[in-house]
Formats: sequence, C-alpha cells, structure tokens
Amino acid sequence: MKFYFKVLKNYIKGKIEPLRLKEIIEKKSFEVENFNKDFIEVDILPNRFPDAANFWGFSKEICSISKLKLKPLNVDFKEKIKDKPKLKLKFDVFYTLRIVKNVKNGDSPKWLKEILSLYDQKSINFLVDLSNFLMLELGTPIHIFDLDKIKQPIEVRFAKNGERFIGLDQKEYILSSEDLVIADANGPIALAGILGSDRARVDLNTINIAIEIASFPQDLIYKTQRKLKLFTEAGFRFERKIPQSRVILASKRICSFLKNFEIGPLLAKKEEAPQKIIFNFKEVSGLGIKISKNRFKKIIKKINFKIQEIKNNIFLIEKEPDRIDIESKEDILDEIIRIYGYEKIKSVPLNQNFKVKNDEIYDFEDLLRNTATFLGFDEVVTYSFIGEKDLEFLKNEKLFNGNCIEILNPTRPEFKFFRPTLLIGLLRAGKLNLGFFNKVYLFEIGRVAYFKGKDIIQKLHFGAIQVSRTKEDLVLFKGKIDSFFEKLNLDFEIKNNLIYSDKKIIGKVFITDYLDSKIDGSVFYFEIYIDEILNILRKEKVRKFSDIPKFPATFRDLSFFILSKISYNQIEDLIFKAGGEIVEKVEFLDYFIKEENLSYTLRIIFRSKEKTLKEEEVDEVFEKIKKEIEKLPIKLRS
Amino acid sequence: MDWREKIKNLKEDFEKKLEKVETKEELENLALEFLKRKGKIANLLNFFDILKKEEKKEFGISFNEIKEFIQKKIEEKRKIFETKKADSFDLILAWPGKKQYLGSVHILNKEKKEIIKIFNEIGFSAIDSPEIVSEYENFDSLRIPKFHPARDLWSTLWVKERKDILLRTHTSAFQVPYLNKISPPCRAIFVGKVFRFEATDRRHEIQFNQIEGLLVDKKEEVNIAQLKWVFEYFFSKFFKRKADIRLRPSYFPFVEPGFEVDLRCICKNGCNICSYKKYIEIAGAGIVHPYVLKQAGLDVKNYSGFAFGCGLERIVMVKYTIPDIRYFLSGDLRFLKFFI
Repeated sequence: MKFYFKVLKNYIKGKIEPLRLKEIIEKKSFEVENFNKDFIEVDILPNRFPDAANFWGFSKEICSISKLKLKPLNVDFKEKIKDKPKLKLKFDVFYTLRIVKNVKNGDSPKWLKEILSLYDQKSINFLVDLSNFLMLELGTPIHIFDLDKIKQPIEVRFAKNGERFIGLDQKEYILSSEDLVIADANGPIALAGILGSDRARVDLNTINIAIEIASFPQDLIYKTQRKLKLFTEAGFRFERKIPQSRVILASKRICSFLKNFEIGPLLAKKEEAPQKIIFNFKEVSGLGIKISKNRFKKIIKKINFKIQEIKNNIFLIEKEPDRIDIESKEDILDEIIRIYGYEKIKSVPLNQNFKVKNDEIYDFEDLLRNTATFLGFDEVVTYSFIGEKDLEFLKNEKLFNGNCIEILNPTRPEFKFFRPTLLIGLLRAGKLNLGFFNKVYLFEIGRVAYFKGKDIIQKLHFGAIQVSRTKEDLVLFKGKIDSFFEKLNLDFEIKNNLIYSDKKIIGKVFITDYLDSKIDGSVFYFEIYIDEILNILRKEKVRKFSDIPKFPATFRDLSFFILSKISYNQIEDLIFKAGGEIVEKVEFLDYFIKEENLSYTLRIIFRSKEKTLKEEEVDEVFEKIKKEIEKLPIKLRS
Repeated sequence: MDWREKIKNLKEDFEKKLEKVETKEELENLALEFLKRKGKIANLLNFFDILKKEEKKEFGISFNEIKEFIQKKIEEKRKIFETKKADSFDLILAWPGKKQYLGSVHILNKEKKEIIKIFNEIGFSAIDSPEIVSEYENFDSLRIPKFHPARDLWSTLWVKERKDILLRTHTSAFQVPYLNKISPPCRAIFVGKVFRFEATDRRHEIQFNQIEGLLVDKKEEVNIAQLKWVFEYFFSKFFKRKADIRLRPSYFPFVEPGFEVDLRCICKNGCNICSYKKYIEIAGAGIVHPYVLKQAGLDVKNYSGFAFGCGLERIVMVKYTIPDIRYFLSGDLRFLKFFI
C-alpha cells in the first residue's frame, strides 16, 4: 500500500524524514517496494494487513519503531436521537448499525477529494467519499444505506439458492446459500462485505441513512469473491479480517464528520476482550540475542501492549486490540526481535557432532549420472507435464496405458497432465537441439506419476534418448544400453519393448525411424524404473572372486546371418551346451547389415581349467557347435 | 668419363636423392648406397689406379672432399630426423587431440550435489521427498488454512480427480511428514521440484526447485543466531566468497518469528543482479511454529526448531549471472554445455 507523507502528517507529531523512515521500516516492519520524497509503498503481508494497511495503523507502526509520536484521532460527536434500526442477525457476526437522520449529501470538501485523488478514486458524493476515505484511514469498509429505500427489518442472512442480486455496478449476480447477504423484506440490499446494491444506494437526495460497519468472517468473503469472480477493495480487506476494535473506532470516527446531523445510538454487540498472553522471559533465548528484562519491557510498551510481571520472569501481556495477528508467545518473540533489531544478532556455530545419512537415492543418482555422461549423454531437466496430444501418442505407441494425473488448472494445454514417462520431455528437448546439432544424446532423472486405482503412484525414472536427423544404427545404441547395465552390475533382457531383470519389468524402450516430419531420422529411447532397480540391487549378494585362470584361452569367431527372429539366449545356450565345459564365454564381436539382412559375429572363448587346449581339440568342439547352430534359423558365413 | 665429371654427377645424384628422403630408413639406405664398402664413393677409387701421377694428388683431395661432404650431409639429416621425432610429440601435445565425447550433468544437479555436500559438513542429511502431496501437507499442517488469503501467497496447481491432492508449492510440505518419520534431534535438507500456477517470464517458472532446511532439537539448543551462522556457512561455501547476510522481518505462517534472508551483492553501489538494491533476497526462514511441531506429535514444551527455504534456480542464477530462469528447463544444449 502506498502512503503519502503529507497524509501521514495528519496522524504523526514531529518531523518525518522520508529516507530515515524508509530505512527503519525496511529493518523492522515491511518490505519497501517504492519510495520517493512524496510517498512510500510497502508490501503488507496478510498477517499485518488488518491493523497496518491504513493511515492510522501505519502511523501507529511508524511510532512504535521510531521516536515519532501519534496525534490523537478526533472521534468527538453527540448522539441526538434515539432511533435504532430493526436488525435480525440470522448468522452470528460482529455487525454494527447506526441511524443518522436529516443528513445533507452533496459535494465533498476539498481535503477529502484530494486524499481520494491520491488513490485514483473519483469523488462521487460526500457520504460515499467519506466511507471510502475511512476505509483508507482505518482499514474498515463502511456501507451506508439510504434508510428510506429499505423496508425494515434489516437481516443478516445467507442467500437463498438462485437468489438474484443487482449490485452497485448494475450487474446481476446469482447467489447461493453460501453467500452472506444483508437483506430487507424485498431481498438483498448488499452482498455482505463485498458489494452494495443499486437499490439501497445513497444519492444526492438521501436524507436518512443507516451506517453499517462489521467484521465479516474471512472464509465466507473469500469463498464468495472467488465463486462470483467479484473482487472489491472491501472484500480484499474482509478476507484479511477486520479487528473488532477498529469497527468500534470507525463507528465513532465517521460520526465526527456527521456532527451537524441527527446521530442515533450504535447498535452493536459487545467487543471481545483483548487476549492476554503469558510470556516466560526465558523464551527470548531462542532469539539468539542477549536482552535485558528492562529492554524487553520497553519494547513491549513501545508497541502499545500492556505488560505486567506476575511472577519472577513470568509476564502477562495484554496486546493492543487492533493487533489480531498476535496470538501466542511466538508472536511476542517476533515483535521483540524486529523492534530490537535483526541486525544485532551475531551468528553462533552449530554443534558440529551430528551424524549424517543421506537417502540412498543420492548415491545411486550419482552412479546413473556418471555412467550416462561417460557414455556421451547430456543431462536435461524438462517440464513434468505433458499435453493431450502427447498422451494420445503414448497410448498409440503403447508406451503408457494407465490413468494419467490430470491438472485441474493447467497453465497451458501442453501442461495438462503430470508426466507418466520421461519420453515426452526428452523428445521435445531432442527436437529442439536438432536445430543446432545433427545428433544428440540426452538423459533425464526425474519423477513420473500416474493413478493406480485411486492411489497416486510417484516414481523416480531414468530416461535416455538418441535423436538424429539421419537413420542410425540401433546396434550402437544397444551397445550403450549394454554398457549402462554393465556399470549398474545388473543382468537384463529386452522383450516386446520392455526391459526385464530378475523376472520383473524394470523399464521400457521406444525405437522408431520416423517420428514426424521433423524427425525423419531415428529416435532410440530407453527408460528405467529406479525404485525397481534399487529393490533388485538391494537383494544382490557378494560375488565371490574366482581366481585368475591358470591356462591360456583360445577363441573362434562365428559369423552368421539371422534369418528369422531368434533370441540371443537361444544361441548362447546352444553354444554352451554343444561346446561343453571348455566354452568359457561368448562375446559380441561385430555385426553388419547387408540388404536388410543382419549379420553378427560372435567370439567364443575356450579355456580349460586343467590344461592348455590343443588347437585340434578346439576345432573339434567348434565344428560340433557349428553343426548344432545350423539347426537354428541362421546361415553361417565362412 | 672424366673422374671430375663422375664426382660432379655423384654429388648431384646424392643431393637429389637426399632431398627426396622422408624417413629415417630411407636416409640409412642412402647412406649405405654411397658410403658402404663397395658403395658409390668407394667405387670412385677405381679411378685411382688409372690416373696419371700428377692427377693423383688432385683426385685424392676431391675424393676426400666428396666423401666428407656426403658424410656431413647424412649426419646432418640424421640429426634432423632425431630432433624431428621429439619435436612432433611436443607439437601433438600442444595441439588439440581427438576427443572422446563426454556428456554433461545439468547445472542444477551439479549444484544440488554441491549443496548437499556443504550441508553434510554441518550435520544436515539430504532426504528425498515427493512432489505430489496432500492439501494438508502443503497447507493445513503449516498453518495455512482453507479460505484464507495466506494461501494466495502460493498459487497452486491442483489434481483434477482428487480434490485434496496438489502439486507441492513448496518443499515445506515435507516438514510434517518427515518429522512424523523420525525422532528429534534432526537436521535435514529436502531439495526438489515445486510447482506454481504462474505466468512464466525471465524470473518466474511454473516449475522450479527449492532447498528446504529443517533442524529440530531441545529448545535450549535452538536459536536464530545459529540459523544465521548456517546461512553464512552455506552461502560462503556456495558462492565461494565471504557471505554477508542480513535478516529482515517477514511473514510465513509456519515460522514465528519469520524473516527474509538477504545476501549482500558483490557490487559496490548497486547493479543489475541486485536490481540496484545492494542486497539480494535469497531465502525465507524462521523458528518453526509450535503448531507445525504439534502436527507431528512433538512435545513443544521441550522441542523447538528452525527452518529455511531457498530457491535453487535463484541462487544458481546469482552465482553464474544467468539472466533467464527459463534456460534451465529449455533443454537447450547451447546453454547446458556451458557448464561442463
């Protein structure tokens, strides 16, 4: 809120020095957003809004943090008539009403117009301007009804479902039973705390008025404003709550401007007694400062709280009733430290002996990052959201067929769902980078989420992608996947685009050589489920060292075309079976593709535990292997 | 042929051949061709016998000259080859090599690791926390009631099918769940993504990361002076310079007293980074409100704590003077590879 120094002068004795004031406000009260020689604009957060976001309250705040003194507020007036309005409170609320008769409405005095113009408010007529001014001065929204336009009694009640209300803005609002209204026999005359009605508004012919000042429940105003998408200055203030003490003060203050008219008595419930807080002086140790009891008492008095030591170190503090943000001893501590000065806190080291244990995921993430970067992948972080089209794509490609978590209020259509896979973000990043590179390798570690029944499942995944403008060799990418798992020390197998390990699904792959007109090259992708992998690795047992072999190895290479789909395991099993004990291992050596025929070369390593193998022995076994292998749908190359 | 001519031809022949020599091996072959026993030079001696007596002296001088000349040239070339080899290693090492392509770690994750390391040094453990949480965890447990404008300080993305579930707007949402899992004393940091319903621009994103710190201990062990020290320690290490910290009153419903933490900018009289304010808003912090501790069933008579929250992107942007928060999620390698 903006405060003009020339306005503040009406409330503060002594000379205001803008720059010094700005500095002290920043240190002790509020964040200063704007400042010059004429005004200061501060950000008053919801807790202090009720008491401080008005001329009177802000002046009080200034006086509690500086040496300036407050001028008393003029609240002099005399009641001249006994008329009371007929009021029915169907809902318990702190509500005051007062009748003033024989008023003369007209043009506002110059001072009033001037102040309103500082806040870009047009002068309407004296009564309206006065209520607008008091909202700025005391923070209390005030509503003035033309009494002659109302059929009493006045009721405070909830609207009926579908009840219609025409506001001051000439717009019609359809209300429900959660909206609080002020009504007469003919229906609503105000949407409580938010907007007056056209029907009961004061105009230049108004003679008799009823002045309403209240403290409506915050939550009701909050809900109604949002439901009707109707936001007013009054509503904004009621959401932040109006202190009852201010309601009473405003009811007097407004009368001081209406002294020439016939003022009636105030119809009001009794104010709540100001809350008292018991405060143990020892609590100040939590502030990390050394402060004397005397200094402490002075600070409490400076903010206009009453204080009394009821036992040694035990104080009874009665807060100033406008300060509805003060509820407990913690709030008192907050007052002490800000007034005393945060800058006086000298840092003190923490005790250094504290056992540290990070969640295991952090080490594992490191391993994944090191491995991926070593294999030439660059890490990206992408949005955790996908759009409708992305989801459709995932379903078509059978990459996700569960229930996505839909966002109620997405900021953009492409952020409609929480991502169930990392693929979409990586694809987006891949496509973007094809603008600058011909081929990119990217990876991401991040959370995905989806529904499982009614439950929300959140999992940490790792995804890695190769996106390229040209057709690429999948065998090379498969090699990266193999190396990746080798580093994780995990056996795996890919079947029907799913990655398995320990008989569980631990990931998926997505391979295509045409994605859209932008990527008519190739996209290779694999994603793994970190939680599942950690579960498997946790069960892992120590693999005992088998001694370095005593006898030399020898090898034979086996080259063949694959004629129809056949699993690698099948070939490997057959080699071990046919070759017997002396087959130590089978390794990938090379591959090539000729006219779409895939050829692999495997290297078979032979070794005996007892002796150096003779070439003839190996040849014999190798021939046997070849014979067996030929039964499979493969064609041996010589 | 006259022996003089023969010597002249031999010299020309040698010089031509020497010029063509490119390897050490070729040089040695050339040396053999001319200098070996029965080589081209030795063969010249055949003239000696048929020379007239008076010519013999002249021939002898010429013969020695050419022999020495060839020996000298060969020797020179040998030296060149030897030094050439050494020189080429030097050269290669001074030139760019053929690189193995290495991937890079995202700058946020690199910094996250560094941050965890720094906090580990002062007893804080890194704890993993979920991104989709209940309304209770994100708001109610932190004294941010329903239908209260305090909620508007965090604009929220909600889950459509479940009214009580949302994308956490701050890492503080994990305070109560974490305190429910452990028993104090504790020191923890939660680093992770948070989400806001917000328009994006250079300084705002709908998705960013926060670092949350939480310490709970016996009441007499907890105070703001230590919290200030934690900030000084952390930011000095993180920014690799002595961090000058300022605390300023503010309001967060779940801490009381609550304050903002500002870092003195490196500039002298104001600059772009600090928007000419000389201080940079860098974190929010305070003493944990007993209401929050009570949500986790802690005995608030004996226990107290402090908490702080700080934007990861924000401090990384300050550290490296990155002008636009949207770079982090752009996936643009031209940005990401800068930080390899």
